[in-house]
Amino acid sequence: MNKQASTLVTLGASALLVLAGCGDSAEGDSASGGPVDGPPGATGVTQGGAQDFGLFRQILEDGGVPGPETIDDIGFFAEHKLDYPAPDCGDDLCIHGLLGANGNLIEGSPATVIQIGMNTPVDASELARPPMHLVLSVDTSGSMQGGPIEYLRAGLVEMIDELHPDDHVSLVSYSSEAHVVLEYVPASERELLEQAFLALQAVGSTNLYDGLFTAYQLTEAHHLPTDQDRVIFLSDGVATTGLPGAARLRSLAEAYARRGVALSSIGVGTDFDLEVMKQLGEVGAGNFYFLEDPSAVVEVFTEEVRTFLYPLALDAKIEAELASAYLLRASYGTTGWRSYGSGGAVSIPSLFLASRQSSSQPAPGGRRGGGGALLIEVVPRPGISANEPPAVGSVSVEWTDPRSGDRLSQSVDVTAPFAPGAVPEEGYFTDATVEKGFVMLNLYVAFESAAQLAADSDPRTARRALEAIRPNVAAWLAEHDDADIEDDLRYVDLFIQNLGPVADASAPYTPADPPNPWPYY
Amino acid sequence: MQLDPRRSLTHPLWLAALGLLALNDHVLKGAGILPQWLTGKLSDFVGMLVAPALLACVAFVRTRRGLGLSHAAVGAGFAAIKLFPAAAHAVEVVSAATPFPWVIVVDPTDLLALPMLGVSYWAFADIMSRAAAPSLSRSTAELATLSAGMLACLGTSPPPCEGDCAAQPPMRFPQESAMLLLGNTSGQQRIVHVRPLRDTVVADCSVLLADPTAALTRELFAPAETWLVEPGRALPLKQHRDSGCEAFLVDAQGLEMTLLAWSSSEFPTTTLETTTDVASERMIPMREIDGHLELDPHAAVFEAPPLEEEYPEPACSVPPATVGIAWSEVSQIDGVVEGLLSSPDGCHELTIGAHDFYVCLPLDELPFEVGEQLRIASYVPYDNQGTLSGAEGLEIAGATTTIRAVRGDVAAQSDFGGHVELADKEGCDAHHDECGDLVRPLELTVVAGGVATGSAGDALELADGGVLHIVRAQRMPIRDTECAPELAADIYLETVLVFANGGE
Repeated sequence: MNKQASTLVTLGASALLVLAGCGDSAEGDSASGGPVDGPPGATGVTQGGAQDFGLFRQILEDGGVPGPETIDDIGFFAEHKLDYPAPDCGDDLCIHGLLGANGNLIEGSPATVIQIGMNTPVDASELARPPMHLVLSVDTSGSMQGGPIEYLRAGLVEMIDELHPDDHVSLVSYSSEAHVVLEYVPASERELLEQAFLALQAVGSTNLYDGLFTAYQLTEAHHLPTDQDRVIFLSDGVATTGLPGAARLRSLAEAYARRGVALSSIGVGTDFDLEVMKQLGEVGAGNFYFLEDPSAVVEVFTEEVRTFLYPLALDAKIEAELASAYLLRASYGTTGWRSYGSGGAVSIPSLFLASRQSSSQPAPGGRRGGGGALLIEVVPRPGISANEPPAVGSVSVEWTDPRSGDRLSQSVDVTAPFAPGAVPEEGYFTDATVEKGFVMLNLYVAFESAAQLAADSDPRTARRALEAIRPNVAAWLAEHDDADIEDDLRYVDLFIQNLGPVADASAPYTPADPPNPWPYY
Repeated sequence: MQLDPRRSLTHPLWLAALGLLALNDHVLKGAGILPQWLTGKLSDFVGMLVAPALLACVAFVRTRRGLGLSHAAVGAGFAAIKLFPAAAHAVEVVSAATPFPWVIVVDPTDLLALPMLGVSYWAFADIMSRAAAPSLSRSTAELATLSAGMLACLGTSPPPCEGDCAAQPPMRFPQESAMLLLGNTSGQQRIVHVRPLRDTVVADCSVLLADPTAALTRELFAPAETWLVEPGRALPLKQHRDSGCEAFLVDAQGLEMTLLAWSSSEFPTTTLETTTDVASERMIPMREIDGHLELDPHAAVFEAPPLEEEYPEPACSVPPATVGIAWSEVSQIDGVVEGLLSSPDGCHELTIGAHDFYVCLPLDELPFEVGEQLRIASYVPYDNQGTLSGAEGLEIAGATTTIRAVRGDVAAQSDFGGHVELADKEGCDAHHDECGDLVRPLELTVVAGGVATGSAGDALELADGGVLHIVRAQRMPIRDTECAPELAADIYLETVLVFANGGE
């Protein structure tokens, strides 16, 4: 049975807005932001920033100790379902600023956060998918020989059935340079498509830039205002020729995202340029797939075609302005955040609403996802008096409507029922969403710091950090039923368990001897 | 009868003791010939023979009572520094300001040498009371031995001459070659994380040390080394860099992230004992205060860079990493343009024969057309003095227009004279870019038949008809070369000069 779920994804400069469309109607059935096959940690298809936490989870499941590079806040948050207040602001995009204040769950000192999220009243399931021009840009360099190229061919052929008759397909194969294999071929020309897909051969070096540039040129050459332009960019290696560096690819993807062209990037194997592909996923208004097992390529194109991206906003800017009593200490959940004296801002090239038509339920135990958030930690400005007004600040969003071209904006105030720094002992949360967001942030910080400490040859302190948060999260779960946090706690336990032998085996340095750092595990 | 302590300085016993002291300090100690404890004790014993006579000389003692007091003073001083750490530290602190700093080991067993004071009195009191005819040679010899004795006592390391002219005590703590020490005075074991600056970071020390907290970012530091520091012990902070300054981010259980930064000339590498018993300006004590650890105020201790960097106003910020000029690798391409495609971010694909050439410039459209004859070649930029620069360049010459793009420490310039002047952009402070590098926007002034001034993002119309597009103009005094371009100096410019052929 086909199931349709709508999810707003910020498939732009960050995944911070991966929120449920139509309020909270997507409970349990949104696959966006979580693995769509296999148990948690499977190396199959994972989506968006979620893959980062997927790798982290996988290492823990395998008994290992993950490094700090395997977890990032965007990916971690995206694996948590966060239900924001009803999107009744009157626009297609509604921003929410929620306040949370409590003793932190690791060592208890007070922490105050503003959680920024967005959702939409648009129900993608009620929207008819417009015709799509799908441009596939695939790496056919020598490293794709054997299994990867075969899986690629099979995946492309399998995808044909998911296309609508009024869709069009272009195919760019790139190795040392890019070649246009198919240009704007109707999806109904099944034989022609299949023939071209099956004829792909792997040979030569890798010219990422040529591959992406050529793909975007095809979208431009055949752009119709009524159609949706999509690019899927697949690579299994690093650029060996052509314009070097991630910056130019990122700039290219950003420029086209501002024009509403969505890019999804797919990294295959373990040798692709993770940083480049991740950045493309972040800025290119699409998804990022990390397919360690090349056989997963067979499914990924089908998944992508099933996902309908409805453009909600272009050139969006989210801003937080703090009241005079507060200072911004740190931000989580987005890249590209820029702080200034009394707040900060992030620019996102485009925001899309993703509607996935999928026949597969999330796997048992799979994470629900859909929980993008931008969390900013604020601290009272030194020397502030207890009589300060309750204002904490305001959050706003400004964007261009993709249909009318109008520049729209929205703003909400964030206030506290307590004086700056006087966090109530029992804590304060605007609603349950920010309470969960607060726990989620604490878990992220514990995971990240434990991973960093372990990498710094200090597994004992790493374990202590996790042991400190564990009872507090367990106590929260005793009062709140939440599958995501429960699953997180399982990974806290796994992490503690995996750190055990490492900590026991590490010999502390005694400065009386010649200096030696603790041995790395 | 008056005493003349100088008489003892030419006595064979005193001379032998002095010789043994010098031999022990400068030859035997550390040579492995004698056990360390023996060389230490030997210094104490012969020191008790040498020191009282010297003190009597310099104090112009003339009576037996005075001589007795000299011996008592030496004995009291020696006993104090061997019994009481505070006394030993006080002497170390005073001596640290002299060319002969001492390191004293508090060790009551060294008091075994005290009876030698009696031997000294017994052996030299009578000698000092004997009259001697004035003689130039005697006076000269006495002056020489007095000087030698003073030098032997002062020039040796521990302990002080007054009580013990012996030199190096037995080593009780390991020594390390280090610049500073992070001492654990908290009374319990502490895990300390120390992050040095990344090896790839290039830093102008004058900028770094002027305000280390503002100059550095957390991104510039390498992963931590973790140490377990016992109470009373000190972690040596060693030289990591050759640039003349050091910076470390440290934290410990209970200690917030703290920045340490210093000049290598202020705290050069030396041999330091890794114990907090030794008071020294090289020691940064880590103390427990109200359940938290704090570092004592020290010239090398600074607040850590903030977690979130404050971003400057757009007019003072440098362009993001996605803004820049770039081109495909090329030696030379000559031919007719068969295809020309442009992307919205200012990158262009030129198809010439079998070549697909990419170039990214601050131009929405290239001033060339399909069918036009082009010559694309690398270009070698020169500086104002006409010297070959470290920059790299590209030149695209069409039928009517030429584009010259240069990135590095010089700007693209006309072949017909003129020069470029650089200055910090007025009203703009240094800030950090996405890599954590310290950057400061620059202003370019082109002097070529006229004067035109601008900064990144500006297009300057030059007097000779050309247009100079300034894509980047920044000083980068602290940069991570893994992220920033390789620069010989700390200037980085990206400029594009567009001019009509034959009319530069």
